[in-house]
Amino acid sequence: MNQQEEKKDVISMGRWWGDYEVGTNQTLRWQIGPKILWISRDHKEWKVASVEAQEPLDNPLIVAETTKEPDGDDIDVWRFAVQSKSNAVRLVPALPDRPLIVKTTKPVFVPSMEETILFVSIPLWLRIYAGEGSAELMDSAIVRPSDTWFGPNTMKGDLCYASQTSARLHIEDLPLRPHRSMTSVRIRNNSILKLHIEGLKIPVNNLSLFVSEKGHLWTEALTLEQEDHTDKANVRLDKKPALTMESTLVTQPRTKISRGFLLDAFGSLVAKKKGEKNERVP
Amino acid sequence: MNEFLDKLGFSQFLKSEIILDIIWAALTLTIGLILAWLISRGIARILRRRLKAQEAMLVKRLSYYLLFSLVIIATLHQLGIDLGLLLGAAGILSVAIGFASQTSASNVISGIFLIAERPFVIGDILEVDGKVGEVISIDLLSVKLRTFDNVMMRVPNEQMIKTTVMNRTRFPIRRIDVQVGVAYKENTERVRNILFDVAEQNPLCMAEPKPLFIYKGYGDSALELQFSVWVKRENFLLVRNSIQEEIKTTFDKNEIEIPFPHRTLYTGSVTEPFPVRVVDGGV
Repeated sequence: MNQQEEKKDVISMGRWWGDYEVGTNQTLRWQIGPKILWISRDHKEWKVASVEAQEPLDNPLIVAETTKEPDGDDIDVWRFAVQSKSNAVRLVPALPDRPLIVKTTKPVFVPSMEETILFVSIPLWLRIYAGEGSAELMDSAIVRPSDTWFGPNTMKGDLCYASQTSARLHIEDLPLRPHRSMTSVRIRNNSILKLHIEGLKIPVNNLSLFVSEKGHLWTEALTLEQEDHTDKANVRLDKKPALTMESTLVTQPRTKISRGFLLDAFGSLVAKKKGEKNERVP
Repeated sequence: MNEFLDKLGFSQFLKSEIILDIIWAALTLTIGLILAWLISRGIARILRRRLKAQEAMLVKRLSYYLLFSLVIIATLHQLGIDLGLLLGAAGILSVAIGFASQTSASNVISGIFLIAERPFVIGDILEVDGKVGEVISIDLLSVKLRTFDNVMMRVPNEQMIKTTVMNRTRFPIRRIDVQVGVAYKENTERVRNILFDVAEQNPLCMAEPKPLFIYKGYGDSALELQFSVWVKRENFLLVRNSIQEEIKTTFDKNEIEIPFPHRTLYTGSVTEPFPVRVVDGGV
């Protein structure tokens, strides 16, 4: 195993979420990908501080390291006043609160009656709970993705997040990172026309988060089926992630929905006339 | 005591029909108005789930005025006033009132059109005659706006129909146009890439629709450019400020000059170089 592979393995295996104890007047530090997080406990308050590391990709994963309280102008600090004496704090990974738009590196065509699996890396949110009642202190993006618009024009559509990474056909092309999770999207083209994919809308706010036996975060597998008679794709959610033998549920979906629903998953901002989305086989 | 009251004729007065009618009329008026207020409020509450805020408000007011009229008619009837005579007089009066209340009538009709057309709703940010404010109520006669310096602005409905009204919050996303001037010596391709990087670094700038880079022309002192980014409606003000700051910082970091207006002095038919002398310790 070369040095680079070794580093990648260390990052992917590390678990930063779970239950921790922060003693009174103590500060613990985490580094999750590019995000550095400090949690401090005072007699009457919890203090959460965070900053984005300058060179994010080269930084290792740091979990609950005892340190001193951070000080600096560029550090964001949130204070939570409490009466409870409990020192328990819980870190939970979560999926984004809006759908995610992910592009392919180059446009991909799925021929009629064919299927393919795309792998997508999803940015994670971090939830912090504290005290006996596990009151939620924060629910924010580890690295906030850019806003984006998904709809036929600038008047109609949905506000989504734009993924920084592309959807890939090979899982090896997507590096595992502690601040991101993975999902597999099976695309089945049941129409007589070939399906043109430039971007995908993944309903991540409706997905659950699982941890695999290797400590990787995955969502349940997703299937998008394109039929002839509709512009919308039929979405089916599996009960478990794909490609993992054993997995445990970590976080419930933000919005629970039925396991099958319709979604304009293959639309794009560029307005297309009806029938233009799927191209006729030459 | 009773004898004394009888002498005064007060008991008779109390027993008289007129006083009874007045008491009944007062009761009808009081209870009727309370009921009208409660019923109109109840109707608005029920309709609030189905209708928009200003429609519910209009229904509430109309139902209140209708019930109010019925209560007044009932009260007058109780007092024994002939309504036929009154309505006849009202018919004559209405012609006079009609002429006198042309403006009000026009505003009421304009108000109905505004509600039917629904170009804005309560809470929208409008620009009317160069003034910007949030809609706080849409009434029969006027639309009330709260300007950002917290002043109430009343715009008659007729004017709202006649003038151009811009609704800044109708669509969920908005475009921010930043006018940038760069020195002629700069490589525009590099400037373009830097501007796109600035937008990419700001998560509130949308990835789609993509930012726009437009050549506006050759200005007196600078290459005039327009850089436009799309943002969520609620982030408009925040990004309008931050993007300008980010562009300036990034231009400074990359040594891209934003020129100020240049003027060349011409002093006559043959312009000689201006003599410049550097003096030690000079001010």
